[in-house]
Amino acid sequence: MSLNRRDLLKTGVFAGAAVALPTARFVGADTAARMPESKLPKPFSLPFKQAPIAVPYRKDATCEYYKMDMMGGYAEIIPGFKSYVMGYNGIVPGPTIKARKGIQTVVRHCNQLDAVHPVLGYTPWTSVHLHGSGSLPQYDGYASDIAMPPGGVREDGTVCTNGEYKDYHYPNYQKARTLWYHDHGVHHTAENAYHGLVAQYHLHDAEEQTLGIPTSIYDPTMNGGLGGWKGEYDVALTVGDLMFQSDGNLLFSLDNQSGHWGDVIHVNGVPWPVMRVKRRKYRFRVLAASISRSFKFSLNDPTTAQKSYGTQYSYQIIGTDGGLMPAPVTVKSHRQLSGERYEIVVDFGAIFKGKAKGSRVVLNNTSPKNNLNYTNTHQVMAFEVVDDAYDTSVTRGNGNAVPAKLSAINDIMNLTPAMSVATRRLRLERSGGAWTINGTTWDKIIQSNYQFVEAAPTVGTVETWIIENSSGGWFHPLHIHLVDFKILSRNGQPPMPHERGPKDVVYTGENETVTLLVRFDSLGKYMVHCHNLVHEDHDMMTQFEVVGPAGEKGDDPMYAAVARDMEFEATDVL
Amino acid sequence: MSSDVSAVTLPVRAGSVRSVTVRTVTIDMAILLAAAAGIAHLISTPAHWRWWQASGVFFAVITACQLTLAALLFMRRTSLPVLLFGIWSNVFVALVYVASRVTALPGQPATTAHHAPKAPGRAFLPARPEGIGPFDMFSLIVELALVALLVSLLPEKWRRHTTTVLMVCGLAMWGLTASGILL
Repeated sequence: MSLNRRDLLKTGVFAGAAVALPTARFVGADTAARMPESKLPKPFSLPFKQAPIAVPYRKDATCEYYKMDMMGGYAEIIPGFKSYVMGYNGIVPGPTIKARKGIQTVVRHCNQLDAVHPVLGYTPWTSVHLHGSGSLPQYDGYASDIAMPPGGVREDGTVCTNGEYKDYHYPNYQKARTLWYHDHGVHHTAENAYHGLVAQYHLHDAEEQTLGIPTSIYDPTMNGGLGGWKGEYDVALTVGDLMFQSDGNLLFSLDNQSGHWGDVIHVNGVPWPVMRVKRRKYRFRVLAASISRSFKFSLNDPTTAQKSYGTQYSYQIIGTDGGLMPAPVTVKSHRQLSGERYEIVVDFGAIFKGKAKGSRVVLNNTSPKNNLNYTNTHQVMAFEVVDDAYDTSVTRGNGNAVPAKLSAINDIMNLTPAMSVATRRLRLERSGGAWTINGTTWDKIIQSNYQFVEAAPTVGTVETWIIENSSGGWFHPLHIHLVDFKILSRNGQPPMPHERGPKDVVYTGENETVTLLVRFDSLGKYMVHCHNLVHEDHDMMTQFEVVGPAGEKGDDPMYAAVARDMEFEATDVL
Repeated sequence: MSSDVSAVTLPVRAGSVRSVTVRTVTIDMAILLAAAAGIAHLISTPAHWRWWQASGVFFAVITACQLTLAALLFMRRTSLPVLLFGIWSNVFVALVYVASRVTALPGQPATTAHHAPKAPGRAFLPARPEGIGPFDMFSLIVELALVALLVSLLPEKWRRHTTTVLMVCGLAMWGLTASGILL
């Protein structure tokens, strides 16, 4: 070989450009400069806030109608910085919808997002999933049933100038529970949810309203007769983690498609807030809306030493994903993954007994393994006691008790193995670089034109589903759409105390096998996926189809109710 | 020179002043790299055909060129036209690779996620740059190494001109990027 130094240099200019330019684009997308910790707010320096309660657009005797515009814009999450976010009605997290059992809800979701995400550069198509609802397949937020933003390109090459909208019908026939609605658009669920397309949805029923627990009470006279809710002690906590670029925008990194972990813990969009509480019981609806992070929550006295925890206080878990537990469970900590909801009651009267006004306790996170942790990810929020008096009238939803028995009749928790008519196994694994369920990815569903199904249970039956995670390196929060299930065992042992209520997401930890009893109540195709949203997007999702005894099928999730162009919205009566 | 090396007799270009041993090793390495690049593109051809027929044809042509180059080198056909063919065909492939990773190529189809069948009324992804992965980065590095080896086999005058043109191509890529045209 005889390349002299000059030849090598000249050839190197070409080779360097050929390698560096694609790599720089790839790396630049994933590793933008992270905001230094010195710019982040100190934990417990910002006031707590809650998302507003959504007001119906109109209502009639059997239904309440809402209209939500998904919009992009800038919000000040880190003081002094503007971050691009996307929210339902432009609010992050979105407005809480409150519903009453037996009164249906219709929500018109309009995609009015930017055609191209200004930070990440993708087209934010959307599909809205009401997580925890037994909705019909076409209203379940089927991942590939998407609505385009204004400027999105349709199949025939035309531009979707106005964006698209879709009316989602929610039956509200289930028992009282904490649900949440969030984006489920194929391959962009993580980015869309991360930027703010998440919100809580509370379903109330007569049983829940008469137990004497803190709750919310419907007032038909509020909002000019459209109705509204009162419930100071029934509090939504939507917990997540974010990471910021140095310019204030959110930093999103896939970490080799393992997940995304932020260095800022936020509650309802506020980093490490502090909430002022009275000396009484509060009910917190805790939603882990993180993209990948799992939490292990506990209540402690504040300490200044990092990851050193003071006195640990007990609290009661009264509800799980599918609503109230049969009986409250007293714990000192509980583990919670993305997608899971736990309703907890904290008695600040007992915790702060004998302590001065201004005393605090901290909601901590002793992280389960296989999370990426940073300086302050072990803290979530603080509660600071005030001496304000409170209304003791139970009839106004101000219940200050937790009875020994909660949900008197709970079909799911009454399921027994003897009722099961079939046993199926779902293997959660990484295969050939892809996240799979029984070797299947959502790509396989798409390639089959949405016909492939992992299982076809018969409506009305109960099955045993065994979820296996043979990896020691990953945990998976597995979510089964449509159904509630009962956790029978975990590695052959009884489920953890806080899991002994109806569930729709199950923590499948490292080297764990979890056995579920699942009942299928209505027809149609529904998704099963990992709720680590990065896993879901890459492509850990499959589907099952509930069929009738004679093979009857439910509505088609893709075509039974498609999104429409916004040009029709004004004349389409909601 | 050891007896083993002296036993190698090559139809090397008349007038060469380079070591026969080094030239032999260089050509053998070039054969391996050309064959490796050709096989890599052969493996990728079916998937690209399914996605976008034009890219499938492109990959098939690349495969044929690189395997032909390997065969010619194997037969010790190291004439100037063969070397220039090998250099510029692989430079072209590298340029197309860079372009495909930083922008959507002209005519590149819009597609549903994962190249899924389109469905009536369904929206789909606009055309956008392809991602990079270990396999295609491996192919690129093989091609760049192949280009360097082939350049080293050129006569002095041609080598000087060729490296100058390569440098201009590299500077153009950096310049287009810096100006924001390419990225």
